[in-house]
Amino acid sequence: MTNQTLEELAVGFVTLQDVHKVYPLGKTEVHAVQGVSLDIQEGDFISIAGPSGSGKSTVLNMIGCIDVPTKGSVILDSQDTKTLKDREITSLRHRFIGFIFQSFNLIPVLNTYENIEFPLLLARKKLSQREWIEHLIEEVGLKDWISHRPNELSGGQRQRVAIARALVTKPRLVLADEPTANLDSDTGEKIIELMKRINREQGTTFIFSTHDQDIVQIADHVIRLLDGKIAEEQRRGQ
Amino acid sequence: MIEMKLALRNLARQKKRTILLGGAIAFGIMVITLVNSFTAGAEYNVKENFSYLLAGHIYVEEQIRRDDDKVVLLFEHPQVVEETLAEIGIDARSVMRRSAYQGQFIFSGRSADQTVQGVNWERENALQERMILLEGQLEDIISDPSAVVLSEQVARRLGAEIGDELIVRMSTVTGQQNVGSLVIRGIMQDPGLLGSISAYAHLEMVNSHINIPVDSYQALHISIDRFTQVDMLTDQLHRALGERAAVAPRISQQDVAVTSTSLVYQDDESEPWTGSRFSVTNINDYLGQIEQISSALTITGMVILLVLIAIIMVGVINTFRMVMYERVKEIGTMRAVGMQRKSVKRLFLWEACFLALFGYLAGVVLALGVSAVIGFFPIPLENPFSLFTQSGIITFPIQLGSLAVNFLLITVLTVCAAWFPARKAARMDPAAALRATA
Repeated sequence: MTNQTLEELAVGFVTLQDVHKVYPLGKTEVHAVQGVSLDIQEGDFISIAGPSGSGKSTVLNMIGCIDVPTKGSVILDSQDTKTLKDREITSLRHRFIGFIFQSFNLIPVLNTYENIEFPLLLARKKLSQREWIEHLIEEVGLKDWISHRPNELSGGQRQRVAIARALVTKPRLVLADEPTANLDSDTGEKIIELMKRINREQGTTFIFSTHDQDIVQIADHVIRLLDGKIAEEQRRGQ
Repeated sequence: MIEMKLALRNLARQKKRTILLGGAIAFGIMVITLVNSFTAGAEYNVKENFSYLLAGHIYVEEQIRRDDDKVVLLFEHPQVVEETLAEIGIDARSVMRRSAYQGQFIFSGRSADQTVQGVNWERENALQERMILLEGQLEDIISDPSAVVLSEQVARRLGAEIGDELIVRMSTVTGQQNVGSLVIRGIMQDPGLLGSISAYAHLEMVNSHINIPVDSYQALHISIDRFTQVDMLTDQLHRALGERAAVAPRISQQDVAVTSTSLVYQDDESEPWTGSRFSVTNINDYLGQIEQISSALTITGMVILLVLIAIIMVGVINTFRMVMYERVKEIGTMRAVGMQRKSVKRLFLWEACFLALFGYLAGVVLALGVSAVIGFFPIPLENPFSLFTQSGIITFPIQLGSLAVNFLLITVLTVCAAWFPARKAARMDPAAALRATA
């Protein structure tokens, strides 16, 4: 942002302003994202859809502050992430964002309870949050699997652990990168329903990427990407 | 705390690798612990063996310069020393009076050179305790003024038995040749390499052989409980004695040597003296070379440890680099959910720390086990190596200081070896880490 202030931009809960991302690939460059601008409101349940290589994951990574744009700005809750140091960005991620990954990404040496508790321990809070963690475990239907390690759980169960882990810090935004890609269609549907219920009941904003058309239909707000650009943006009821 | 928990779990997760790497550390620690303990034990045993041979740790002599300029060792003013010893709190029971000469035993046409120690049998409790009589009775030795106790080896060489009378040739304190006789009343087990060159007779008989008054003696030998106090007590005694009488300057290690079983030192003639004076020496003055050998052994052990550590560290660096690449996905995930860079680094460093700790503990336990096993195999006393043993047993006293230094060394170096992979892991771009596994 060169001449404009945040106020002048009238930013929302999550705003992307002309975001570009270029990756070097040998001697050439790959333009993964080309001038994406978005404005997301709190409480939205958004799907970023598109074929493989359309830039879905890159956009999610930039919204989640785990990747930085080559050009443009990502503004989270009125904070331009470009101006933040790594320590501040990590801290912002920890308190503001929850992550759900395509391949679950659980810590293999921790059991269900410990995996969900993990983000809380990073805050070094002495206060025990056992009741909250147990509530989440119940919410995702893993009460009987509390002491099991990831390798003892099915794909669907692992993704439920990942959802509970994403929610444990009570983030305002949850980013899910292809959360159903490694699951069968029934389980995938249940996972999306679970996310939708949490969105409805707790008001948590969800942004998930998918290339599954059936799942896309569940979202309130759909952003379709093609070749790193927004091809279509749909709001339910519009 | 979460870093420590994860570090421990990660170690347990790759059991084979942890055992191999920890085993390498354990081997290094075992070697250095054994070398340190052996060195300390050998040094102690050599001193202990010499203290047995020399009957004590601190030695006081009175030197008398005669009119013909010859120096004679003879206590003419014992009360001065006795008062001084009482003043600095040395128990009279730990003080032995001795005279000695280099003699040649002759029996049935055979001969053997021996140092004949004149002892007061009633007062020499330590000697009585350590001397193992194979033949003869202590009562007979005490009751016969001409009794002599020989080592088994010397008795065999002479072909002599209990009750046999030996001819003994010696020089008196004034240098005149003299001949006497002693009766074998005891044959003792060879008390180590050094002990077998000493024979023991009554103090009065030895005095008569070297032509000094029979109720006199040539040296006071003081035993103390702790070696560590030897130098301090010697200096204290030297100072206190110097306030009452003339004393010879404290000697340096270069001036002395142990020849056979006699204490020999080169007089410092830079300060001429007349009449009589006292000299105070101790076992460390004579065993400086042993300490040098001990230091050399310790340095050798340290070099071995450093070489081993260098090899181990290469292993640690490679392993942690491999671990870092294996856990790219986890690192990316942990960074994404809010783990700070320094926590990622700490996670690796704790893992290295625990690895060093487990390796160290295993190494110490192994060293204790090996030293216990070695203890089951005694060294024959006629073997020169027995000088370093306690009655033929190699001892490995635990060296707490060395253990602490080794622990710090191995921990710091292992953590240092893991530092660069840990830093690389911490600096990993979370998006790239997550993408790498996508």
